[in-house]
Amino acid sequence: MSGFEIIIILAVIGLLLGVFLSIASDVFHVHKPELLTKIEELLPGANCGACGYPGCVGLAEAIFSGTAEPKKCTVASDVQIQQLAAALGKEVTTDGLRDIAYIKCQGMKDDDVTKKFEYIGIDSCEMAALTSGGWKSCEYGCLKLGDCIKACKFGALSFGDNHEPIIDRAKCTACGLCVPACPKALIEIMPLKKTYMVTCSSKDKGADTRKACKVGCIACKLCEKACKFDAIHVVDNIAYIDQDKCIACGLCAKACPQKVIEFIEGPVKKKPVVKKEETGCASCGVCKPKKD
Amino acid sequence: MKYNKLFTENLLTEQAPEADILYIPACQHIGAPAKIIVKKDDLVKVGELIAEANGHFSSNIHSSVSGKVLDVKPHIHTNGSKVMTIVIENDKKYQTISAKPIKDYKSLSKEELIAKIKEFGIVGLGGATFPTHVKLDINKPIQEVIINGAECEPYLTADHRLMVEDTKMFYTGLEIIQYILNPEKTYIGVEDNKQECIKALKTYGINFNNVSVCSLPTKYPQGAEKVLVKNITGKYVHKLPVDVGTVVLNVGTVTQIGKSFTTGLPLIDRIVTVSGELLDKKYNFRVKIGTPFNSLLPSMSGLETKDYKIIAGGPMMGTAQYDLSVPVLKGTSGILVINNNSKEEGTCIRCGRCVDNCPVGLLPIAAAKKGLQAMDCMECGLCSHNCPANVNLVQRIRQQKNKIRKIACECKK
Repeated sequence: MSGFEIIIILAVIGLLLGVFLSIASDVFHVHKPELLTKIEELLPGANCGACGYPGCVGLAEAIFSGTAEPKKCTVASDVQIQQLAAALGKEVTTDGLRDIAYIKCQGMKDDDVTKKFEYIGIDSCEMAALTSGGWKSCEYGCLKLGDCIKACKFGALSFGDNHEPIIDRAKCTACGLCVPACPKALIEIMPLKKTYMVTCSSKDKGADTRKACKVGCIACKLCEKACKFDAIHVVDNIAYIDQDKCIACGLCAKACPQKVIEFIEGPVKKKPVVKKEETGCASCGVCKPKKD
Repeated sequence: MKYNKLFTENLLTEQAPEADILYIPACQHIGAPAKIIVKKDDLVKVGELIAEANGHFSSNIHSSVSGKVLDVKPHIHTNGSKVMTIVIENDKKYQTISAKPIKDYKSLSKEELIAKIKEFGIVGLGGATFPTHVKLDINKPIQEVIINGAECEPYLTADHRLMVEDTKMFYTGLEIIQYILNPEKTYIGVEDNKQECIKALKTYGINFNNVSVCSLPTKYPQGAEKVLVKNITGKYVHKLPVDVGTVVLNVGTVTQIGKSFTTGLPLIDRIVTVSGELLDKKYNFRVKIGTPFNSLLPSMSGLETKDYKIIAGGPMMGTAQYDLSVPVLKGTSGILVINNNSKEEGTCIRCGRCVDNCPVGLLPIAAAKKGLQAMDCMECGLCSHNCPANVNLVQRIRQQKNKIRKIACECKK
């Protein structure tokens, strides 16, 4: 058989199959509503599972059938959500705020923390935590082996200079995959509008914390005394900020001797409204013009 | 593998140095932690119940000294975590509770005997600390009772000394076990590097029916339940030996049963091997439970410059300790001070040595990477020990086990 014949035979087979496939695709075509396709296109396509549905297609179907709101997607930006709502003919109010993940430990430098022992084993926080509770003297602290970094699908987490996990707030979508990955439960998803945060999770008593970590919350309650809005409380030897009451004046952060209360650059700052009849001016100094 | 048993196997058991303060954790066994029934400033006597079993799958805990309860607080446990611990100041008078020896055990029913064993707080003394009353409480007929005297872990000689020195007590306990379980046959499995024990057991056991002492080859992990049952009876154990009509008990447990019934005192002490190439003096100590390690290792000088580790239990399955105030528990069979020869992890070179060495026939590297049959692994450590690339196989298998457990947990929900 010559080469020419082979080419002809193959071309004929190809042509026949092509015709068959084109007919089959027309006959067996699944008619998808146009809107559903559009919703799928508008969703980020990250398939992170933060919404609780099986991937973006699952959420798109739920939004299409009306069982879920467009806001359910935590990854999509406000613009995307507005587009989604517009496509559905709905109106959605977005507050310009989104959630981010936050690590509640700042004992990352080797000088700041004391070690129980040298951990020799596989690079996994989970296994390090099972080895006598981890190498840190503080049993609540970050073990710096990067289970959260491995869990992140958006590249928002990376190792810093001290081999500590750092969250890139621009990339973080608050999908929540890092939360269960942390064996010490140090990561919390919270609205970015929270402007002051306690960056420690130690529930040890002050003296024990001081022995284990130079930068831990020692439950001295100075922040509680400094706060004029009843927003910060020390419960279980750890300070906790009630974000509904907090007006981000920063008095607690100034008072903290361990510098555990950190300021986050939030896009929105609440303006204090002074109603003399109710509380009176607390003279926190937030409303004073800043001296530059 | 070097067994290093010569260090201590011919040393007589001595009474351990007295400790001033004892730490007795409420959780020294598999199962629910015991419920602490003493409080600060209470006075306790030797053998007094200080924490009672919380349910069937739990065990009683007794004071091993007399004195004052200083505190009830979280203290370090040999597994590395902090657990609720009763801190007792030893007044060194050793006032004992009025013990009631059980002279005629045959007058009691099996249920009553098992209840007595539970009352004495007896758990498996081989190391796993499985509550003995749970093990004995079975309704099906038992073909074989196997007494585990293999003591396959290197360095450890606690069971060796026990078999030689307490042979009479051992057989007293064995009689009680035979009365409770009524087995067709009783085997005592001893590794052939302990000829002295085999001789002692055979000489004494001549009056007993149906008891045979088996000399087993010296090969770690001969003392693992599954391996022992396989080697003695030829039966393959998938989950528990009871499934194939076999009960496996450690020699220490059996001796303790004999001892508790003759003296009426609960489990308050055990034999601990203090050994390791870095220690000048090595011992077999009879230690009161709750004695901190630092009172048993008095001279640690000359070790500052060395890279060493201190291990509770055997070198293969024991846990390294970082704090020497950790107490001796019911399951602590040895305290070892050995060279730290952990090396950096390499990459698997596919040599298959882990497969050759696995006593339960797994593919350890597959179990470590993909979790293949990981739940069947008994973490004996032979694969990690023999790996030329120093892959932390056991730790990786543990990680896979964790993953499987998590998935199983989610599926149940």
